[in-house]
Amino acid sequence: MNFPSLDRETITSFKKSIDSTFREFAINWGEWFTELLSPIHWLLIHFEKLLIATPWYIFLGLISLLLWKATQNWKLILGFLISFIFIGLVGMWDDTMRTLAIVLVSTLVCIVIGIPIGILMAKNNLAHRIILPILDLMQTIPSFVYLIPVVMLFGLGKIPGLIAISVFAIPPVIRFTNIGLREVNKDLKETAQALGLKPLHILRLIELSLARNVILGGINQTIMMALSMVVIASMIGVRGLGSQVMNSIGNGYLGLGVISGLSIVALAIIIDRAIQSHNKRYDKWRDYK
Amino acid sequence: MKYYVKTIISVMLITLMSTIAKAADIKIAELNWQTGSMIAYVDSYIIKHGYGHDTEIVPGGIDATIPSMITKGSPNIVGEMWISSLGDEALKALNDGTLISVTDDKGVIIGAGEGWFIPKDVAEKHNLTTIEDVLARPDLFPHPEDSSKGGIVICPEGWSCKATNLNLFKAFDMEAKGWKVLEPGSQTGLNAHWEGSVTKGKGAFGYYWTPTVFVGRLDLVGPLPSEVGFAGDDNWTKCIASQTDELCANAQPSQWPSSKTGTIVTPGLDQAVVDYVSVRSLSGSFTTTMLLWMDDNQATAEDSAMYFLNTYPEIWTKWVTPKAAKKVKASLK
Repeated sequence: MNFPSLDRETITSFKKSIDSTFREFAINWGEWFTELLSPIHWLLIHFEKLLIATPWYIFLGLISLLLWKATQNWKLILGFLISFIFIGLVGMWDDTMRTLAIVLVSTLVCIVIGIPIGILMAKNNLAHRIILPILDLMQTIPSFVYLIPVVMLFGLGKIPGLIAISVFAIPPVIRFTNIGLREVNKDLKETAQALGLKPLHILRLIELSLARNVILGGINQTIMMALSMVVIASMIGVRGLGSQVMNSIGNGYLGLGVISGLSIVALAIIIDRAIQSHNKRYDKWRDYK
Repeated sequence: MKYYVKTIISVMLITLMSTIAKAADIKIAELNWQTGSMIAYVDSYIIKHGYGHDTEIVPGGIDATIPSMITKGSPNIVGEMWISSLGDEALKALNDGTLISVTDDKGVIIGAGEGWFIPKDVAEKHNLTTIEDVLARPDLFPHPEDSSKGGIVICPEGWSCKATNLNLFKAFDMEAKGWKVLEPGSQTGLNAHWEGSVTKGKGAFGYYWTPTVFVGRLDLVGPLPSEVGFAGDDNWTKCIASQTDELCANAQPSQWPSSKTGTIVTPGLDQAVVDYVSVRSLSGSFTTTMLLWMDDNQATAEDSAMYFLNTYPEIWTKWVTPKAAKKVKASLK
């Protein structure tokens, strides 16, 4: 026996009313939202241009220097140089820069929005109860469901890509901030209160600095998830390694798929190892002190 | 025992005879897309009631239908065949007379095909009718990432028409005219781009195909013609439509050719029926109207055929003899 579903016309009209409500919304608010996000759009376009315009040797030099400052791990730097030279040799340099640009800007957006939300969740149990299921929803809802409305609102290209990536990648940074702050030793907070520190000072000097490694772990996860979303983002016109993967799928080019896939992996591993190795070094330094 | 054998044999005989008696003298292939199957039901109804033949509808895709027509001579009529998708075997059969293509050059669905489209309101407001008109106004179709340039949306990765679009982009020298390619990434992206732009009342220009529900719902016009017309098969087939960017270096501007659709029959059909199927054709815009109606009412092919016959007699009565028209009209009442 079939489940007694509503009749077809009711369901159709329900679906159609969602469609028309959204269309109304897009007509009235589409331009407003596009304007609102135009600074991020500007940042994305120019950051990408900057990365592509930077000569490769300067890019390799600067990043090596940065990695040395952060990790003092020469093996990591060697790995970075080898994999980026590989990327350049197989002609993926520009696409890698495009991907790097959108992933980094998305991560920045996730951090700016995510850390305050994480703090709110740690401080307020009601917020915690409300936000947690929303995060679950954001990570499980199939991205195609919101890709179409996002493209209808913002058009093809980087902004809808950034939104799709951020929706999927923001939960870890929120979760980890929340957990990191909740794990801070209560005695320390009480001591600080007894010494007369204001709540904002306690947050900055004690809680955030003690939760630093956990939060960095969250940011690391966010970057990984952002990288995993670049293929989906390329389905709405974001150029980069993702569109090369799509190209290889569409045409059955196995070689191109392997090369562009491995380039994404290389980016992910280097960023992941850099943050981990930085965390280790920071721990050592703190314990020593 | 004998009794049983007799019964079984007689039952078998009766079944056999009744199938022979019921076997329709004209079998019509129902193709598995909306217009293809609607045309099959329209044909079936008109041939049955207008010309007095028994008809039967045989479902099947092109891959199964055409070989069956060649080897077994059945089904007898396939209504909306896309000529470009016929294989070598079918072309051979058309040459040696095993199959007959009865439609003239304009095709079953006139103006079906792919090409460049723009929203109708933009076209009317700025009086844009050809590709050249549109290319002169990149300011009406700003590219999302560089609003000083016009954006043309092309085919997604992996579609063979992507190369066609890029070759035409070069052939029309669009970069110099202030245009930039807008890559949709996927069909999802392509549809959402059109839908979003039209909903927001913004200009959009680029690739789509017709007849589709989508073109009807969004009210797009196209494929746009070009002032230079169709610049020859050599230019199109050997260069623009088949080669990648680098290999088709001196592509000439051209408009998109329309895709030919035709009706194919097996030999030996009643001449009156052949006369009917060879003139039966629908305009692209009317087909879109029908598709929209089907979509709105989620109608089956048979519903659509009956709706068409009841609502648009002015179209189908032109296809048939006055006598047949009278008979069909009488049966509809």
